[in-house]
Amino acid sequence: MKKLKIGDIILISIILFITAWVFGLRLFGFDDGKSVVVTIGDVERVYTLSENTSFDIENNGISLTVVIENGYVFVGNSNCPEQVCAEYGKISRIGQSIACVPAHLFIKIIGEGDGGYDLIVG
Amino acid sequence: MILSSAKRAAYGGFFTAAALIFSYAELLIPLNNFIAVPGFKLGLANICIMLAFYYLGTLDAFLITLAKIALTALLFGTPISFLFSLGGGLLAFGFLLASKYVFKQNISFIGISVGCAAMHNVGQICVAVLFFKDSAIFWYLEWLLPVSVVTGVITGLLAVSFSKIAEKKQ
Repeated sequence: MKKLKIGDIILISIILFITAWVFGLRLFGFDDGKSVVVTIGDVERVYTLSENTSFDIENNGISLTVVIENGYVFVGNSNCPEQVCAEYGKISRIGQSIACVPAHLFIKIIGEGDGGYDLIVG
Repeated sequence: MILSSAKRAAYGGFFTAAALIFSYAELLIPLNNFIAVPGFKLGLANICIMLAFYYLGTLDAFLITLAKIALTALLFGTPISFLFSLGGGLLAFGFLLASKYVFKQNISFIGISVGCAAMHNVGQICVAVLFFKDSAIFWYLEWLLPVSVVTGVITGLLAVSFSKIAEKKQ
């Protein structure tokens, strides 16, 4: 029981490997069944939350960019004078939504489950 | 180590008391100030359980584990924290037992302690998943596992130095 032995190295490597694997799952397209519904006026489009994408929208004189990145949705640039949607920040959980009234835009995350807990106090 | 029943009881009491003191000392270390993810602790009490496992035997170490879990829950915890540490403690003890047969002499306190820390976290997460019925909690392991390597190495090094002191005294 003195210095580091072969078993220690194997065990620590296994744990670090599992960690890297879990990180990899998280970073490279883990489909957790969440979808993003983007409604512009009467048109509805559905995107997968786990697939990174971004698109420009022009409606009612407002142009803005919706970005889906690493499991989050947010409004990037907007020339809207209110800037409410851009300042709303990133959303990632089922039931969360971003609305931009001047552009008639509504973004909502849907999926199975209740979206998890806000906070767990032990 | 073959002990008389009186000595065995004394050692059992000593290790349980030491484990409780370590658990209490951990509450005084504000580790959350240094690591951004909440809920981390060093797991110093595991030093006592590992030493008990190697110097007293499997049964005594198991009883000390159960006593430590029950007493820390009564003294500093809640019924929920009892369930969490029971899940973690049992899985960590399972690893301790398995490491004896799988790795035999090829593992030191450092590896054992890292494995125990990791399995303790896995056990707690399993209890949390059952308790909250939300499998998304498993993702928390991507933070808990690397931290358990760090805390496991620290407690493992402490266990090595404690065992050196113990062997010198004999």
